[in-house]
Amino acid sequence: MPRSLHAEFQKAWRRHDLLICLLLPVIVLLWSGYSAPDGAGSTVNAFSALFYSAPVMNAILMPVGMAVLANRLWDVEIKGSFPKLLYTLQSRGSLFAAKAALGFGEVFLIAALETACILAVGRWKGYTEVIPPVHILYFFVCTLAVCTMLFFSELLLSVLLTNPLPALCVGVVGALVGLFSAFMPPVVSLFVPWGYFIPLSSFVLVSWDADARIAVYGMRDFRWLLLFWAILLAAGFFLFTWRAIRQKEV
Amino acid sequence: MFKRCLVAENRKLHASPIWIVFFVLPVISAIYGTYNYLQNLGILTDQWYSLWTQHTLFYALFFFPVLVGVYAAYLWRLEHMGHNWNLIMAAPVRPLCLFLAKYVIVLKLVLLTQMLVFALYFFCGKAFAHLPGLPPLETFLYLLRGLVGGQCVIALQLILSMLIRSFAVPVFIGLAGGVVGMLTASKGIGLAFPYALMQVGMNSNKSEDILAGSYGGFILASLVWLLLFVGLAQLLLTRRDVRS
Repeated sequence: MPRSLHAEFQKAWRRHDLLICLLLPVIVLLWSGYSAPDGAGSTVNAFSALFYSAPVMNAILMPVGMAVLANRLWDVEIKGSFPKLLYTLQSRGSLFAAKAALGFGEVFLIAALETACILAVGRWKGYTEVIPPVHILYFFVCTLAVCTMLFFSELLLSVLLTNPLPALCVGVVGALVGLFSAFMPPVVSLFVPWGYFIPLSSFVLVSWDADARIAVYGMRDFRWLLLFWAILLAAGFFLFTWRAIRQKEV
Repeated sequence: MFKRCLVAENRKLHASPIWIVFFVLPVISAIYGTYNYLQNLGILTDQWYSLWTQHTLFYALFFFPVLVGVYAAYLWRLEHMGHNWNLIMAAPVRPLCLFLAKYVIVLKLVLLTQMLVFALYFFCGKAFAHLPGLPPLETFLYLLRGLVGGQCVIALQLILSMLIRSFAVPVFIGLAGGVVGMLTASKGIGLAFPYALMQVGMNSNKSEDILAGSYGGFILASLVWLLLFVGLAQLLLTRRDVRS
Protein backbone atom coordinates (compact mmCIF):
# COMPACT_ATOMS: atom_id res chain seq x y z
CA MET A 1 0.00 0.00 0.00
CA PRO A 2 2.69 2.66 0.82
CA ARG A 3 4.38 1.89 -2.51
CA SER A 4 1.09 2.16 -4.41
CA LEU A 5 0.30 5.41 -2.65
CA HIS A 6 3.73 6.75 -3.50
CA ALA A 7 3.15 5.84 -7.16
CA GLU A 8 -0.21 7.60 -7.09
CA PHE A 9 1.42 10.70 -5.58
CA GLN A 10 3.95 10.70 -8.40
CA LYS A 11 1.19 10.43 -11.00
CA ALA A 12 -0.74 13.21 -9.26
CA TRP A 13 2.36 15.39 -9.26
CA ARG A 14 2.77 14.92 -13.01
CA ARG A 15 -0.93 15.59 -13.57
CA HIS A 16 -0.69 18.84 -11.54
CA ASP A 17 -3.59 17.70 -9.36
CA LEU A 18 -2.55 20.18 -6.69
CA LEU A 19 -3.41 23.02 -9.06
CA ILE A 20 -6.98 21.72 -9.41
CA CYS A 21 -7.20 21.34 -5.63
CA LEU A 22 -6.11 24.97 -5.27
CA LEU A 23 -8.21 26.30 -8.13
CA LEU A 24 -11.50 25.26 -6.50
CA PRO A 25 -10.95 27.19 -3.22
CA VAL A 26 -9.51 30.13 -5.17
CA ILE A 27 -12.74 30.42 -7.18
CA VAL A 28 -14.75 30.24 -3.95
CA LEU A 29 -12.47 32.91 -2.47
CA LEU A 30 -12.95 35.20 -5.48
CA TRP A 31 -16.67 34.65 -5.66
CA SER A 32 -17.39 34.96 -1.95
CA GLY A 33 -14.97 37.89 -1.66
CA TYR A 34 -16.90 39.67 -4.38
CA SER A 35 -20.42 38.85 -3.24
CA ALA A 36 -19.83 39.06 0.53
CA PRO A 37 -21.69 41.95 2.18
CA ASP A 38 -19.71 44.81 3.66
CA GLY A 39 -19.36 44.79 7.43
CA ALA A 40 -21.58 47.81 7.83
CA GLY A 41 -23.88 46.98 4.92
CA SER A 42 -27.53 46.09 4.65
CA THR A 43 -27.05 42.61 6.07
CA VAL A 44 -27.41 41.62 9.66
CA ASN A 45 -25.10 38.68 10.55
CA ALA A 46 -22.73 39.16 7.63
CA PHE A 47 -20.58 36.14 8.55
CA SER A 48 -23.68 33.95 8.52
CA ALA A 49 -24.55 35.42 5.10
CA LEU A 50 -21.17 34.29 3.85
CA PHE A 51 -21.68 30.75 5.14
CA TYR A 52 -25.22 30.81 3.74
CA SER A 53 -24.00 31.53 0.20
CA ALA A 54 -21.09 29.04 0.26
CA PRO A 55 -23.26 25.91 -0.23
CA VAL A 56 -24.81 27.47 -3.36
CA MET A 57 -21.31 28.02 -4.78
CA ASN A 58 -20.46 24.45 -3.82
CA ALA A 59 -23.55 23.12 -5.60
CA ILE A 60 -22.32 24.76 -8.82
CA LEU A 61 -18.60 24.06 -8.55
CA MET A 62 -18.14 20.80 -6.67
CA PRO A 63 -20.02 18.30 -8.90
CA VAL A 64 -17.85 19.37 -11.85
CA GLY A 65 -14.72 19.69 -9.70
CA MET A 66 -15.16 16.19 -8.24
CA ALA A 67 -15.84 14.79 -11.72
CA VAL A 68 -12.57 16.32 -12.90
CA LEU A 69 -10.57 14.85 -9.98
CA ALA A 70 -12.09 11.37 -10.29
CA ASN A 71 -11.82 11.42 -14.05
CA ARG A 72 -8.13 12.31 -14.04
CA LEU A 73 -7.39 9.72 -11.40
CA TRP A 74 -8.66 6.87 -13.59
CA ASP A 75 -8.22 8.32 -17.08
CA VAL A 76 -4.44 8.23 -16.67
CA GLU A 77 -4.64 4.42 -16.61
CA ILE A 78 -7.12 4.21 -19.48
CA LYS A 79 -5.02 6.38 -21.79
CA GLY A 80 -1.98 4.17 -21.42
CA SER A 81 -3.99 0.91 -21.23
CA PHE A 82 -2.31 0.39 -17.87
CA PRO A 83 -4.85 -1.68 -15.88
CA LYS A 84 -3.63 -4.85 -17.61
CA LEU A 85 -0.05 -4.10 -16.63
CA LEU A 86 -0.84 -2.85 -13.14
CA TYR A 87 -2.95 -5.87 -12.23
CA THR A 88 -0.01 -8.14 -12.93
CA LEU A 89 2.35 -6.07 -10.78
CA GLN A 90 0.12 -5.32 -7.82
CA SER A 91 -3.16 -6.44 -6.32
CA ARG A 92 -6.33 -4.73 -7.41
CA GLY A 93 -6.97 -3.97 -3.75
CA SER A 94 -3.78 -1.98 -3.31
CA LEU A 95 -4.37 -0.05 -6.55
CA PHE A 96 -7.89 0.90 -5.48
CA ALA A 97 -6.85 1.67 -1.89
CA ALA A 98 -4.09 4.00 -3.10
CA LYS A 99 -6.40 5.79 -5.53
CA ALA A 100 -9.17 6.09 -2.94
CA ALA A 101 -6.75 7.40 -0.31
CA LEU A 102 -5.26 9.97 -2.68
CA GLY A 103 -8.71 11.03 -3.90
CA PHE A 104 -10.02 11.40 -0.36
CA GLY A 105 -6.90 13.36 0.58
CA GLU A 106 -7.50 15.77 -2.31
CA VAL A 107 -11.16 16.19 -1.35
CA PHE A 108 -10.14 16.78 2.29
CA LEU A 109 -7.64 19.44 1.18
CA ILE A 110 -10.27 21.21 -0.95
CA ALA A 111 -12.86 21.20 1.87
CA ALA A 112 -10.32 22.47 4.42
CA LEU A 113 -9.00 25.21 2.12
CA GLU A 114 -12.51 26.29 1.21
CA THR A 115 -13.52 26.63 4.87
CA ALA A 116 -10.31 28.56 5.56
CA CYS A 117 -10.99 30.85 2.56
CA ILE A 118 -14.48 31.70 3.82
CA LEU A 119 -13.12 32.51 7.27
CA ALA A 120 -10.36 34.62 5.68
CA VAL A 121 -12.90 36.59 3.61
CA GLY A 122 -14.89 37.29 6.80
CA ARG A 123 -11.79 38.51 8.63
CA TRP A 124 -10.72 40.60 5.61
CA LYS A 125 -14.16 42.26 5.45
CA GLY A 126 -13.97 42.96 9.16
CA TYR A 127 -17.03 41.01 10.27
CA THR A 128 -17.56 41.12 14.00
CA GLU A 129 -20.14 38.34 14.21
CA VAL A 130 -18.87 35.32 16.12
CA ILE A 131 -19.72 32.01 14.51
CA PRO A 132 -19.70 29.09 16.98
CA PRO A 133 -16.76 26.81 16.07
CA VAL A 134 -19.10 23.82 16.02
CA HIS A 135 -21.01 25.38 13.09
CA ILE A 136 -17.75 25.91 11.21
CA LEU A 137 -16.79 22.31 11.89
CA TYR A 138 -20.23 21.13 10.77
CA PHE A 139 -19.88 23.14 7.54
CA PHE A 140 -16.50 21.51 6.90
CA VAL A 141 -17.80 17.99 7.63
CA CYS A 142 -20.84 18.49 5.37
CA THR A 143 -18.69 19.81 2.52
CA LEU A 144 -16.29 16.90 2.97
CA ALA A 145 -19.05 14.28 3.13
CA VAL A 146 -20.94 15.49 0.06
CA CYS A 147 -17.74 16.03 -1.95
CA THR A 148 -16.55 12.52 -1.03
CA MET A 149 -19.89 11.08 -2.10
CA LEU A 150 -19.69 12.94 -5.43
CA PHE A 151 -16.06 11.94 -5.91
CA PHE A 152 -16.71 8.21 -5.48
CA SER A 153 -19.84 8.32 -7.65
CA GLU A 154 -17.76 9.90 -10.43
CA LEU A 155 -14.91 7.44 -9.88
CA LEU A 156 -17.41 4.60 -10.22
CA LEU A 157 -18.60 5.98 -13.56
CA SER A 158 -15.03 6.51 -14.74
CA VAL A 159 -14.16 2.89 -13.91
CA LEU A 160 -17.30 1.47 -15.52
CA LEU A 161 -17.08 3.55 -18.71
CA THR A 162 -13.78 3.97 -20.50
CA ASN A 163 -14.95 7.18 -22.17
CA PRO A 164 -14.60 10.12 -19.74
CA LEU A 165 -17.42 12.06 -21.39
CA PRO A 166 -20.42 10.43 -19.63
CA ALA A 167 -18.86 10.78 -16.15
CA LEU A 168 -18.07 14.43 -16.72
CA CYS A 169 -21.50 15.11 -18.19
CA VAL A 170 -23.15 13.57 -15.13
CA GLY A 171 -21.15 16.07 -13.06
CA VAL A 172 -22.22 18.99 -15.25
CA VAL A 173 -25.89 17.99 -15.35
CA GLY A 174 -25.72 17.22 -11.61
CA ALA A 175 -24.45 20.74 -10.93
CA LEU A 176 -27.34 22.22 -12.89
CA VAL A 177 -29.97 20.02 -11.22
CA GLY A 178 -28.40 20.53 -7.79
CA LEU A 179 -28.47 24.29 -8.23
CA PHE A 180 -32.07 24.29 -9.39
CA SER A 181 -33.14 22.05 -6.51
CA ALA A 182 -32.19 24.91 -4.17
CA PHE A 183 -34.98 27.02 -5.66
CA MET A 184 -37.57 24.25 -5.64
CA PRO A 185 -39.71 23.16 -2.64
CA PRO A 186 -37.35 21.92 0.15
CA VAL A 187 -38.41 18.30 -0.25
CA VAL A 188 -37.06 18.23 -3.84
CA SER A 189 -33.52 18.95 -2.67
CA LEU A 190 -33.53 15.74 -0.60
CA PHE A 191 -33.71 13.74 -3.83
CA VAL A 192 -30.84 15.53 -5.55
CA PRO A 193 -27.52 14.38 -4.02
CA TRP A 194 -25.44 16.83 -6.13
CA GLY A 195 -27.08 19.71 -4.30
CA TYR A 196 -26.95 18.26 -0.77
CA PHE A 197 -24.66 21.13 0.24
CA ILE A 198 -27.73 23.38 0.43
CA PRO A 199 -30.21 21.38 2.57
CA LEU A 200 -27.35 20.36 4.87
CA SER A 201 -26.37 23.96 5.58
CA SER A 202 -26.96 25.18 9.11
CA PHE A 203 -27.22 28.81 7.99
CA VAL A 204 -30.60 30.18 6.87
CA LEU A 205 -32.15 33.38 5.64
CA VAL A 206 -34.47 34.39 8.49
CA SER A 207 -36.06 37.44 6.92
CA TRP A 208 -35.69 39.77 3.97
CA ASP A 209 -37.13 43.26 4.03
CA ALA A 210 -37.40 44.20 0.36
CA ASP A 211 -38.23 47.87 1.07
CA ALA A 212 -35.38 48.51 3.52
CA ARG A 213 -33.20 45.93 1.70
CA ILE A 214 -32.15 44.33 4.97
CA ALA A 215 -31.51 40.60 5.15
CA VAL A 216 -31.27 38.78 8.45
CA TYR A 217 -29.47 35.44 8.58
CA GLY A 218 -29.43 32.91 11.36
CA MET A 219 -28.52 29.37 12.28
CA ARG A 220 -30.64 26.28 12.54
CA ASP A 221 -30.20 22.79 14.01
CA PHE A 222 -27.80 20.42 12.31
CA ARG A 223 -29.39 17.90 9.97
CA TRP A 224 -27.69 14.78 11.28
CA LEU A 225 -29.96 12.35 9.45
CA LEU A 226 -29.24 13.87 6.05
CA LEU A 227 -25.53 14.04 6.83
CA PHE A 228 -25.61 10.38 7.81
CA TRP A 229 -27.41 9.58 4.54
CA ALA A 230 -24.73 11.47 2.57
CA ILE A 231 -21.99 9.52 4.36
CA LEU A 232 -23.89 6.29 3.71
CA LEU A 233 -24.13 7.15 0.00
CA ALA A 234 -20.39 7.91 -0.06
CA ALA A 235 -19.67 4.53 1.55
CA GLY A 236 -22.01 2.85 -0.95
CA PHE A 237 -20.27 4.42 -3.94
CA PHE A 238 -16.89 3.52 -2.41
CA LEU A 239 -17.93 -0.14 -2.16
CA PHE A 240 -19.46 -0.20 -5.64
CA THR A 241 -16.28 1.29 -7.10
CA TRP A 242 -14.18 -1.34 -5.34
CA ARG A 243 -16.50 -4.02 -6.70
CA ALA A 244 -16.26 -2.56 -10.21
CA ILE A 245 -12.45 -2.54 -10.11
CA ARG A 246 -12.34 -6.07 -8.68
CA GLN A 247 -14.65 -7.50 -11.34
CA LYS A 248 -13.58 -5.47 -14.35
CA GLU A 249 -12.20 -7.51 -17.21
CA VAL A 250 -9.05 -6.10 -18.76
CA MET B 1 -8.27 20.53 -47.64
CA PHE B 2 -10.29 22.57 -45.22
CA LYS B 3 -13.45 20.89 -46.47
CA ARG B 4 -11.90 17.45 -45.82
CA CYS B 5 -10.98 18.49 -42.30
CA LEU B 6 -14.53 19.67 -41.80
CA VAL B 7 -15.97 16.36 -42.99
CA ALA B 8 -13.59 14.44 -40.72
CA GLU B 9 -14.51 16.54 -37.69
CA ASN B 10 -18.19 16.27 -38.47
CA ARG B 11 -17.92 12.51 -38.58
CA LYS B 12 -16.79 12.46 -34.96
CA LEU B 13 -20.25 13.71 -33.98
CA HIS B 14 -22.10 10.78 -35.51
CA ALA B 15 -23.68 8.61 -32.80
CA SER B 16 -21.68 10.54 -30.25
CA PRO B 17 -22.75 10.72 -26.58
CA ILE B 18 -22.30 14.48 -26.85
CA TRP B 19 -25.86 14.78 -28.18
CA ILE B 20 -27.20 13.68 -24.79
CA VAL B 21 -25.65 16.73 -23.12
CA PHE B 22 -26.78 18.85 -26.04
CA PHE B 23 -30.41 17.98 -25.27
CA VAL B 24 -30.34 17.52 -21.50
CA LEU B 25 -28.79 20.83 -20.37
CA PRO B 26 -31.16 23.18 -22.25
CA VAL B 27 -34.18 21.04 -21.33
CA ILE B 28 -33.36 21.14 -17.59
CA SER B 29 -32.71 24.86 -17.86
CA ALA B 30 -36.10 25.33 -19.57
CA ILE B 31 -37.98 23.22 -16.99
CA TYR B 32 -36.48 25.18 -14.13
CA GLY B 33 -36.93 28.55 -15.89
CA THR B 34 -40.61 27.92 -16.60
CA TYR B 35 -41.23 26.62 -13.07
CA ASN B 36 -39.56 29.64 -11.50
CA TYR B 37 -41.42 32.03 -13.79
CA LEU B 38 -44.79 30.49 -12.92
CA GLN B 39 -44.00 30.57 -9.20
CA ASN B 40 -43.06 34.26 -9.25
CA LEU B 41 -45.65 35.83 -11.52
CA GLY B 42 -46.15 38.58 -8.94
CA ILE B 43 -42.57 39.83 -9.33
CA LEU B 44 -41.83 38.77 -12.90
CA THR B 45 -44.23 41.01 -14.77
CA ASP B 46 -42.42 41.52 -18.08
CA GLN B 47 -43.96 38.40 -19.63
CA TRP B 48 -41.71 37.15 -22.48
CA TYR B 49 -38.72 39.17 -21.19
CA SER B 50 -39.13 37.76 -17.68
CA LEU B 51 -39.43 34.23 -19.03
CA TRP B 52 -36.25 34.83 -21.06
CA THR B 53 -34.25 35.80 -17.96
CA GLN B 54 -35.48 32.73 -16.09
CA HIS B 55 -34.73 30.38 -18.98
CA THR B 56 -31.24 31.63 -19.73
CA LEU B 57 -29.83 32.99 -16.45
CA PHE B 58 -27.83 29.98 -15.21
CA TYR B 59 -27.32 28.63 -18.73
CA ALA B 60 -25.53 31.80 -19.83
CA LEU B 61 -23.67 32.40 -16.56
CA PHE B 62 -22.24 28.98 -15.84
CA PHE B 63 -23.28 26.22 -18.19
CA PHE B 64 -22.66 27.68 -21.64
CA PRO B 65 -18.85 27.76 -21.21
CA VAL B 66 -19.02 24.26 -19.72
CA LEU B 67 -21.04 23.02 -22.69
CA VAL B 68 -18.60 24.60 -25.14
CA GLY B 69 -15.77 23.07 -23.09
CA VAL B 70 -17.31 19.61 -23.47
CA TYR B 71 -17.78 20.08 -27.24
CA ALA B 72 -14.20 21.32 -27.69
CA ALA B 73 -12.61 18.67 -25.47
CA TYR B 74 -14.53 15.94 -27.28
CA LEU B 75 -13.22 17.05 -30.66
CA TRP B 76 -9.60 17.17 -29.43
CA ARG B 77 -9.72 13.97 -27.39
CA LEU B 78 -8.99 11.70 -30.32
CA GLU B 79 -5.92 13.76 -31.27
CA HIS B 80 -4.46 13.26 -27.78
CA MET B 81 -4.68 9.48 -27.97
CA GLY B 82 -1.78 7.30 -29.01
CA HIS B 83 0.44 8.94 -31.64
CA ASN B 84 -2.34 10.81 -33.39
CA TRP B 85 -0.62 14.17 -32.96
CA ASN B 86 2.27 12.95 -35.10
CA LEU B 87 -0.24 11.70 -37.61
CA ILE B 88 -2.24 14.87 -38.00
CA MET B 89 0.79 17.16 -38.00
CA ALA B 90 2.31 15.07 -40.78
CA ALA B 91 -0.91 15.18 -42.82
CA PRO B 92 -0.85 17.36 -45.95
CA VAL B 93 -3.10 19.92 -44.28
CA ARG B 94 -2.23 23.33 -42.89
CA PRO B 95 -2.34 23.07 -39.09
CA LEU B 96 -4.65 26.05 -38.82
CA CYS B 97 -7.17 24.24 -41.05
CA LEU B 98 -7.43 21.57 -38.34
CA PHE B 99 -8.15 24.20 -35.73
CA LEU B 100 -10.60 26.12 -37.91
CA ALA B 101 -12.45 22.95 -38.86
CA LYS B 102 -12.95 22.16 -35.17
CA TYR B 103 -13.97 25.77 -34.62
CA VAL B 104 -16.65 25.59 -37.31
CA ILE B 105 -18.00 22.30 -35.93
CA VAL B 106 -18.24 23.67 -32.36
CA LEU B 107 -19.82 26.83 -33.75
CA LYS B 108 -22.39 24.66 -35.50
CA LEU B 109 -23.11 22.81 -32.25
CA VAL B 110 -23.42 26.08 -30.34
CA LEU B 111 -25.76 27.47 -33.00
CA LEU B 112 -27.93 24.36 -32.70
CA THR B 113 -27.86 24.64 -28.90
CA GLN B 114 -28.94 28.28 -29.07
CA MET B 115 -31.75 27.33 -31.46
CA LEU B 116 -32.88 24.61 -29.08
CA VAL B 117 -32.83 27.09 -26.19
CA PHE B 118 -35.00 29.47 -28.19
CA ALA B 119 -37.37 26.72 -29.33
CA LEU B 120 -37.83 25.57 -25.72
CA TYR B 121 -38.34 29.16 -24.62
CA PHE B 122 -41.04 29.65 -27.24
CA PHE B 123 -42.70 26.31 -26.50
CA CYS B 124 -42.74 26.83 -22.71
CA GLY B 125 -43.95 30.40 -23.11
CA LYS B 126 -46.89 29.24 -25.17
CA ALA B 127 -47.70 25.86 -23.64
CA PHE B 128 -47.16 26.49 -19.92
CA ALA B 129 -46.98 30.24 -19.33
CA HIS B 130 -49.74 30.97 -21.90
CA LEU B 131 -48.03 34.18 -22.96
CA PRO B 132 -49.74 36.17 -25.71
CA GLY B 133 -48.33 36.67 -29.19
CA LEU B 134 -44.80 35.82 -30.26
CA PRO B 135 -41.57 36.34 -28.30
CA PRO B 136 -40.24 39.87 -28.82
CA LEU B 137 -37.67 40.29 -31.56
CA GLU B 138 -35.17 41.49 -28.95
CA THR B 139 -34.96 38.03 -27.38
CA PHE B 140 -33.99 36.58 -30.75
CA LEU B 141 -31.40 39.32 -31.03
CA TYR B 142 -30.07 38.43 -27.55
CA LEU B 143 -29.64 34.89 -28.78
CA LEU B 144 -27.62 36.01 -31.79
CA ARG B 145 -25.55 38.31 -29.58
CA GLY B 146 -24.88 35.36 -27.32
CA LEU B 147 -23.56 33.50 -30.34
CA VAL B 148 -21.33 36.44 -31.32
CA GLY B 149 -19.92 36.69 -27.78
CA GLY B 150 -19.72 32.92 -27.51
CA GLN B 151 -17.31 32.69 -30.45
CA CYS B 152 -14.42 33.82 -28.26
CA VAL B 153 -15.30 31.15 -25.71
CA ILE B 154 -15.29 28.55 -28.48
CA ALA B 155 -11.84 29.61 -29.72
CA LEU B 156 -10.41 29.79 -26.19
CA GLN B 157 -11.83 26.41 -25.15
CA LEU B 158 -10.44 24.86 -28.33
CA ILE B 159 -6.97 26.22 -27.49
CA LEU B 160 -7.22 24.92 -23.92
CA SER B 161 -8.35 21.49 -25.09
CA MET B 162 -5.55 21.47 -27.65
CA LEU B 163 -2.90 22.28 -25.04
CA ILE B 164 -4.24 20.24 -22.12
CA ARG B 165 -4.29 16.52 -22.79
CA SER B 166 -6.89 15.86 -20.12
CA PHE B 167 -10.52 15.81 -21.19
CA ALA B 168 -11.89 17.16 -17.94
CA VAL B 169 -9.56 20.05 -17.04
CA PRO B 170 -10.53 22.42 -19.90
CA VAL B 171 -14.19 21.85 -19.04
CA PHE B 172 -13.53 22.85 -15.45
CA ILE B 173 -11.56 25.91 -16.60
CA GLY B 174 -14.67 26.80 -18.63
CA LEU B 175 -16.77 26.69 -15.45
CA ALA B 176 -14.20 28.80 -13.59
CA GLY B 177 -14.18 31.22 -16.54
CA GLY B 178 -17.96 31.48 -16.34
CA VAL B 179 -17.78 32.44 -12.66
CA VAL B 180 -15.04 35.02 -13.25
CA GLY B 181 -16.96 36.25 -16.31
CA MET B 182 -20.02 36.83 -14.14
CA LEU B 183 -17.94 38.85 -11.67
CA THR B 184 -16.29 40.97 -14.38
CA ALA B 185 -19.62 41.56 -16.14
CA SER B 186 -21.21 42.75 -12.90
CA LYS B 187 -18.27 45.12 -12.43
CA GLY B 188 -19.07 46.59 -15.85
CA ILE B 189 -15.87 45.39 -17.50
CA GLY B 190 -17.39 42.42 -19.27
CA LEU B 191 -15.99 43.37 -22.67
CA ALA B 192 -12.47 42.90 -21.34
CA PHE B 193 -12.98 39.23 -20.49
CA PRO B 194 -13.88 36.64 -23.15
CA TYR B 195 -16.08 34.48 -20.90
CA ALA B 196 -18.21 37.52 -19.98
CA LEU B 197 -18.98 38.46 -23.58
CA MET B 198 -21.54 35.71 -24.07
CA GLN B 199 -23.24 36.60 -20.76
CA VAL B 200 -23.38 40.26 -21.73
CA GLY B 201 -24.76 39.35 -25.15
CA MET B 202 -27.50 37.10 -23.80
CA ASN B 203 -28.80 39.81 -21.43
CA SER B 204 -29.90 37.10 -19.05
CA ASN B 205 -30.01 38.85 -15.72
CA LYS B 206 -31.39 42.27 -16.59
CA SER B 207 -34.79 43.45 -17.80
CA GLU B 208 -33.23 46.40 -19.61
CA ASP B 209 -30.75 45.89 -22.43
CA ILE B 210 -27.24 46.15 -20.97
CA LEU B 211 -25.75 46.58 -24.43
CA ALA B 212 -28.03 49.42 -25.49
CA GLY B 213 -25.89 51.93 -27.36
CA SER B 214 -22.67 49.94 -27.06
CA TYR B 215 -23.02 47.38 -29.82
CA GLY B 216 -19.86 48.67 -31.52
CA GLY B 217 -17.71 47.96 -28.48
CA PHE B 218 -19.26 44.52 -28.02
CA ILE B 219 -18.71 43.46 -31.63
CA LEU B 220 -15.20 44.92 -31.64
CA ALA B 221 -14.29 43.15 -28.39
CA SER B 222 -15.67 39.84 -29.72
CA LEU B 223 -13.73 40.23 -32.95
CA VAL B 224 -10.47 41.22 -31.24
CA TRP B 225 -10.62 38.28 -28.82
CA LEU B 226 -11.48 35.88 -31.63
CA LEU B 227 -8.61 37.06 -33.83
CA LEU B 228 -6.27 36.93 -30.87
CA PHE B 229 -7.16 33.33 -30.10
CA VAL B 230 -7.01 32.20 -33.74
CA GLY B 231 -3.61 33.88 -34.03
CA LEU B 232 -2.47 32.16 -30.85
CA ALA B 233 -3.68 28.81 -32.18
CA GLN B 234 -1.75 29.37 -35.42
CA LEU B 235 1.37 30.25 -33.45
CA LEU B 236 1.07 27.24 -31.18
CA LEU B 237 0.40 24.81 -34.00
CA THR B 238 3.27 26.00 -36.18
CA ARG B 239 5.97 26.87 -33.63
CA ARG B 240 5.39 24.33 -30.91
CA ASP B 241 6.78 20.85 -31.19
CA VAL B 242 4.45 17.89 -30.89
CA ARG B 243 4.63 15.97 -27.64
CA SER B 244 3.05 12.67 -28.29
